[in-house]
Amino acid sequence: MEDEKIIDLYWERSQQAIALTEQKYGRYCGRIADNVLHNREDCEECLNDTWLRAWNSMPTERPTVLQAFLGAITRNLSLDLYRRKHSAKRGGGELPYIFDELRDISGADEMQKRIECMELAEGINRFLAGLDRESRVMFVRRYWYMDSIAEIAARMGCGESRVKSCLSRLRKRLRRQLKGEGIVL
Amino acid sequence: MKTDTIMDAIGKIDLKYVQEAEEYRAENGSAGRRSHGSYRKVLSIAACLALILGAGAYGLRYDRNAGAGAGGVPEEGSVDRTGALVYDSAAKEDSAAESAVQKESGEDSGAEAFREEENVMETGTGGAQIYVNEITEVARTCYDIAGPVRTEYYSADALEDYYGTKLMPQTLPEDLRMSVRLSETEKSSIYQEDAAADAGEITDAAANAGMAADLAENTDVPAEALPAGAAEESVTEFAVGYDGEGNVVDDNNRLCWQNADGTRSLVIAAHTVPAGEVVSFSQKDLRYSSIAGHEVILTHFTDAQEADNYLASYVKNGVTVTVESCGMTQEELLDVLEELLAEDDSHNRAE
Repeated sequence: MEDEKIIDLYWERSQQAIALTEQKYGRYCGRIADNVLHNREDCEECLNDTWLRAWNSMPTERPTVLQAFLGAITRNLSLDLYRRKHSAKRGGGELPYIFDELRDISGADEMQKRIECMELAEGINRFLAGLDRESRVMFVRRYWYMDSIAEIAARMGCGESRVKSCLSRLRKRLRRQLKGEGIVL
Repeated sequence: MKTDTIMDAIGKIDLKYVQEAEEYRAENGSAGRRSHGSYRKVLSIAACLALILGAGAYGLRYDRNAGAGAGGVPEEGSVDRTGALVYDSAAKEDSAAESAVQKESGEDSGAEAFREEENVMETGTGGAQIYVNEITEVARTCYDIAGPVRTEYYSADALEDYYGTKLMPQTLPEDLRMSVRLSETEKSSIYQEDAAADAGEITDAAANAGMAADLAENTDVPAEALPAGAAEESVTEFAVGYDGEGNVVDDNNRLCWQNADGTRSLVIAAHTVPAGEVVSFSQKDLRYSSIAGHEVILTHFTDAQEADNYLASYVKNGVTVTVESCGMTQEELLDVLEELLAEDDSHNRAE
């Protein structure tokens, strides 16, 4: 079923919307949750919360890209659950590496938070808009989807060393751009 | 700024980029599936920690030299080549185990029966002794190292000479093809662009000692480090990094094969020093197989798409090798392992 029709079902408060969403995007959202949580029970919990949050957000929300909208919900819920479970230390999955990589942008751990999260998001959006498609896809697959290097290499049809070097350059470029825009890191 | 803040901010990017990244596939069509298949995601822990595999690891003893094909009845406690488990009747207490014996096939039912019995693996009877550990999770350790000062590039064939052990099997299923590799010309342009950008940045940041140090530490390998004539070479995907004293700091490389639709894949990874992502196993719960006189840890799990995934690991001539398959049969994987381990190693390992 087309996304527009599924969204219409949400607006009509038809519970068929949830079933169709799960059928169409369950695997997609499940991959996102799994990239973060690596635990079947936690993933299932996240997915159920995703469908609930989607139900509660529509109407009022009418996403233009339903798949990404649901993926974003799942990602946020997964990260929240991950942080609750690993508040003392970093745990499994790609997240420890990704957090370490993002330190290239944030600098030392002891640097304090200087800007609002949304302002930073806008800066990252401007950064992504200025990238070529391949670089942008690599960045988003690594830091939004939290794919492994190997998975990204397979998707891009290139070697892992290229992915690693590209991501390293992108992190440095993002840091330079944010600094240039006056966003203190 | 905490990395948590950046992670949250990335979560708020325009969803059109999220959708674009999901829809993107390389034009050569080689990325229909993730390189390791869509198997259950691996765990990674902070660097330098030992890994713990899923609890309840158990195994299925498998003697490839036994079975009807070899002209004899499989010995008790062994498994014939079809995967059926043959039990010592005296050891059986569970009727479920007995019914598993009577099935012609059914590795899964045999594995379940074996788990219940928790038989100790018998000592080798000659030839290959195969023990497949059933696991639920695979964990990897990420070793974060400083960037190399110098990098050497190798083709796949030359890489075998570097490691001094066979990494490219000839016994692969016909539908598997080595994945597309990066051309040297493209790699050259990437590094040249980066070298120019980094030179300027370092100059501008010279007054900021902290930032300059950070940039200097993270500078990519400059273009001049590439071998002369590299642009003319078409397939030099694999890299070995050295520190300032000529010691290898990163020689972790992977060779990948997959079929046309990405449902079957094989990845062979090798390293002599831990760098990047490496696989290690807890030896308390896993049992070794013996193939061509080498100890191999062989594991199996089923991914979310119900595909068979095998992960084997061994050390040969100081090289740690992992062989990961998705969608391949156990027989196909064992053929690969036997070839890799039976090699005389006539390759001269590069120092």
